[in-house]
Amino acid sequence: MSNLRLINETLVTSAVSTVSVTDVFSADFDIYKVTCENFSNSTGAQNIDLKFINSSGSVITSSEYDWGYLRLNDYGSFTEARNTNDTNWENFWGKDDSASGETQNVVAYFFNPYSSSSYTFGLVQSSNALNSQLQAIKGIGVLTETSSVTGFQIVFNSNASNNGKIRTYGLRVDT
Amino acid sequence: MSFGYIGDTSTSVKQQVKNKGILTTQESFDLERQGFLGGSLELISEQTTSGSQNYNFTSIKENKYDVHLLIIDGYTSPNGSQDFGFRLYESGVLETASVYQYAIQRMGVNGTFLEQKSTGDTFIWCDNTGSENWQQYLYAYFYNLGNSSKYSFCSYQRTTRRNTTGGSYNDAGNYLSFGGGVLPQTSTVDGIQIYNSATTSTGGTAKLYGVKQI
Repeated sequence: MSNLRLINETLVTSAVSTVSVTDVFSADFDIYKVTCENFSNSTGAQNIDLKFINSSGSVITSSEYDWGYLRLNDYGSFTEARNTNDTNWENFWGKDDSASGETQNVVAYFFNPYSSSSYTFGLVQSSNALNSQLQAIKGIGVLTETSSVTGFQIVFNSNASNNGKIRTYGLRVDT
Repeated sequence: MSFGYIGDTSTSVKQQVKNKGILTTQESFDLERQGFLGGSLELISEQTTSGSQNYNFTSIKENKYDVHLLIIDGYTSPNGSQDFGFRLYESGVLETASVYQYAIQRMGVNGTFLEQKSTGDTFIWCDNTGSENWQQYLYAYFYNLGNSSKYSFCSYQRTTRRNTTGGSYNDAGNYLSFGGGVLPQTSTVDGIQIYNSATTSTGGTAKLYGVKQI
C-alpha cells in the first residue's frame, strides 16, 4: 500500500471559467499532491491561475499571493516571472490551448494549507503545449496569511475551458 | 454508504485516521472501488537497468492510467559518447523520427546553468556525455499516453553524478535538471523506452507506476 491517499477527483466536462475543488485539505494531512491535466478550450492559448478557498468556503482574494517560476520554452529563451502581493498564483496550473491534442499537465504539492499557524506553500512542475510549441514550467508560491485553507480554485484567464481532470491526494500521516 | 470503521462521514475528506473497526470483505471491495481504501500508486513494472542499451516498458496499462510515474534509481553507464532520454511506442511501434519536443534547465554544481531545448529531436533528451561515465537518478511523470486524442507529455526532475574516463569526480558534469517534453502526435502510446544512444548500462533500477484514479 502506498503512502498516497486519493481524496478527490474532479472532472470538467463542459465549458467553465473557474473550477473549485473544495473540502480537500483537512487536519488529516500536512502535505497534498495534486495532478491536473487535459484542460483545453475552444478559443486559444491562455494562462491558468490558482486561488485558495478558506474554511468558510470563500475564495481568498487578498493581495497575499507571492509566486515565481521559470518557463522552459522549446522554441526560444527561457524566461522568469515573479510577483509579490498578488491576488493569485499566476500560471500555477500551466496553460491550455484550443488545438487538437494541446493540453496542460501538472503535478503540484501543497504544504500546510489547513494549518492556521503557517503560511500555505506550493511547488509545481508542468508540461504544456500551445501554438505547436512546448512550455514547461517549474515554480513556487506562498500564500502569506495564516488562514485555514480547505480547497483551491482554478481560474481560466480569458477563455472557458472544456475538459480537464483534477485529482487531489494526501500524503499519509501515521499517528 | 457508511462503513464500520469510518469516524467521520460528514465531509468529503476521505482519510480515515482512526481505524478501530473491522471491515468485511465486501466493505473492503466497496471502499477500494470508490478510491477510499488502498494506495494510490500501483507498481506496474520494475526492471534492473543493467546489461542492455535500452529498456522497454511495453505493458504499461495505458487504458487504466492517464498519469504514469517512472522512477530511475542509480542508472549507471560506462565511459563513452552517449545520449540519454526517453522514446515512446505508438501502438507497438517505437517512434524514432525527429518529432519530439523538449525544454530542459540544467543547474550545475560548478555554478553553470544551461538550457537545452529542441522542437524536433529523435527522443526526449535528458543528458549526454562526450566520453565520461554516469550515475543518475530521476523521476518522470507521463500524461495521456493511452489517449489517442491528446498529445503525450512528460515532465521530469533528475540529478546525476558524472565521472571522468579515469573515474574521478567531474563537477562540471554534475547538475540538477528539470523540464518537460512532448510527443506532439494524437496517437495511442503503449510503451516507454529508456533510451541510450550508444552504451550498455551496468546498474540501477527503473520502476513504472500508475497513479490511481477512480
